[in-house]
Amino acid sequence: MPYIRDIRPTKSELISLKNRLRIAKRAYNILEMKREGLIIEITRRTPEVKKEYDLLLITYRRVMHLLAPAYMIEGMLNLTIAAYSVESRTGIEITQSNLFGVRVPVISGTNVRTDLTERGYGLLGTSVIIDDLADAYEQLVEAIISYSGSLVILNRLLIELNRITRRVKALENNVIPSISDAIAFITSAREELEREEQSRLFHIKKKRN
Amino acid sequence: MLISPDQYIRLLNMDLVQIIRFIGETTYKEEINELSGRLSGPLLIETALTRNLASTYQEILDIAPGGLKEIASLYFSRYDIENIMLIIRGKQFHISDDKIREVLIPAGFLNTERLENLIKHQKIQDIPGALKKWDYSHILSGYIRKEYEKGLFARLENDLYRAYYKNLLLEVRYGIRSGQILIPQLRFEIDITNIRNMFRLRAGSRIEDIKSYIIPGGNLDHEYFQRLYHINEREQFRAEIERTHILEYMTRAIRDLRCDPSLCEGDAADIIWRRWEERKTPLYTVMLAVNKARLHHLDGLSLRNPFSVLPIISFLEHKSHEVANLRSIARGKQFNIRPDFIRQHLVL
Repeated sequence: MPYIRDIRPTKSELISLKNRLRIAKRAYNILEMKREGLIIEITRRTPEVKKEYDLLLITYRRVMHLLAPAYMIEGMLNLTIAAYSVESRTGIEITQSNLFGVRVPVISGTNVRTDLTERGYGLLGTSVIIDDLADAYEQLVEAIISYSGSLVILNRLLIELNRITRRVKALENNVIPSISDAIAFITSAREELEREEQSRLFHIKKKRN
Repeated sequence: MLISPDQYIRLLNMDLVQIIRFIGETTYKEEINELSGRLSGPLLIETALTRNLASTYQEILDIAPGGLKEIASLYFSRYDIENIMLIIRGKQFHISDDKIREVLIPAGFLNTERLENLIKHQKIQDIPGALKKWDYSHILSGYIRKEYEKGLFARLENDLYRAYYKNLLLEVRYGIRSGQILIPQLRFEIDITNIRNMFRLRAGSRIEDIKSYIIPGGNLDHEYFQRLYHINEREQFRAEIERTHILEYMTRAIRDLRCDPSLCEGDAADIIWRRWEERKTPLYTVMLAVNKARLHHLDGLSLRNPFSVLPIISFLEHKSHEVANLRSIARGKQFNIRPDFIRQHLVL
């Protein structure tokens, strides 16, 4: 469906369309620049997110690798009790920041890594494997928070890139060509009218003479 | 009758069902028969083992003659601390009474009935009142009187264990006849625990003063550990660690673990230094091997003193390691762990 319909070949319509074309071209340039910026930012961030994902997998595997020996050495009940002893509670803080005009959440953890003396279990009644496992779990929680924060920013940027690309493509392939066509149509129609007028005047002048 | 090393090797090649059948034909028969109706798999094995351990402790302590019973009860009163801390934590963090019961090992001063009475209390503030005759009730009431705050239980637990070792050393030295026989074993145990905890603190904490985490009474005093804790120079660290008899046991443990008979004390000191420098905890497999060395040390002492309390303690320690070994095998099978890897976790 054409972007512009019911065109009246008038001077005011032509002026209005020329203004709209100028604005559309300016918008196209700005959006294209933003799109390129977004592509650069996404290209920069993607390997970082991939690295964080790989780190998440490594820390997860480390936890799984330690979980079996922990069950073997301490048994399920002692592990449960050690887990219940943990007194510090991990929290998540979400703030907002602006990136290329996109509102992105910034996720950070509080109380993720704790000092051994503040974990809640006594040092003299527990074994080394409990420390190793607690440490591995803390690293895993840290990796999850960091990865989810980066991933959500990347997702928002990708959504914005899709939106901007759609607009840029619409401007490039639909809006600007339609306005240009309309301007060309009005110009040619007006020229035709002008020629008709000139011809009419020519014939009147000829009859008078 | 304890399970022999050969039987452990056979167990390593069995699946969980075969392991349960094997255990059900040994001293754990009664517990397995009692629990197999409602539990299965590794949980059945673990619960049966814990129950059997508790009843064995009580049986041995009941048949031990007067003086020996007194020392053995004192030695195993560490289980009282473990049990009371379990009950207090359980009550504070709303763990069900049944779950608490499953982990209790009534092997010390507090028998099953007394522990059961403690579990019935709903508030932790009522527990010190019910433990007036307990040796460490003053420490307990001092902490529990305060409002609950973060870190309270950890500090309480540490103080109880410190008081336990202090009291035990005092009693065996001056209080109980022929108790002195236990002193070398206790000192050795304290040193190993202190060394282990120093590694843990260096790996996981930024505290400067470690005095409150060091158990007094070992061969190495707390000034030694305070000095060692701040060392960042390889040569200085090696010189300090070589001064102790612990290095000998650590070397033996690492040698066993790496199956390398040519490993000398210098190599072991280097391996320990690398963990220290990188602020890592000692490998748990090394700590298991050190435990094994501690057990052998205890065996040697009990052989030299067959009419003392040492054979009783040695047997009960072996029993506790047997339970740990069987649990390791069962849990290892549950996680599909290779038999040779499970074997590294056994204290044979």
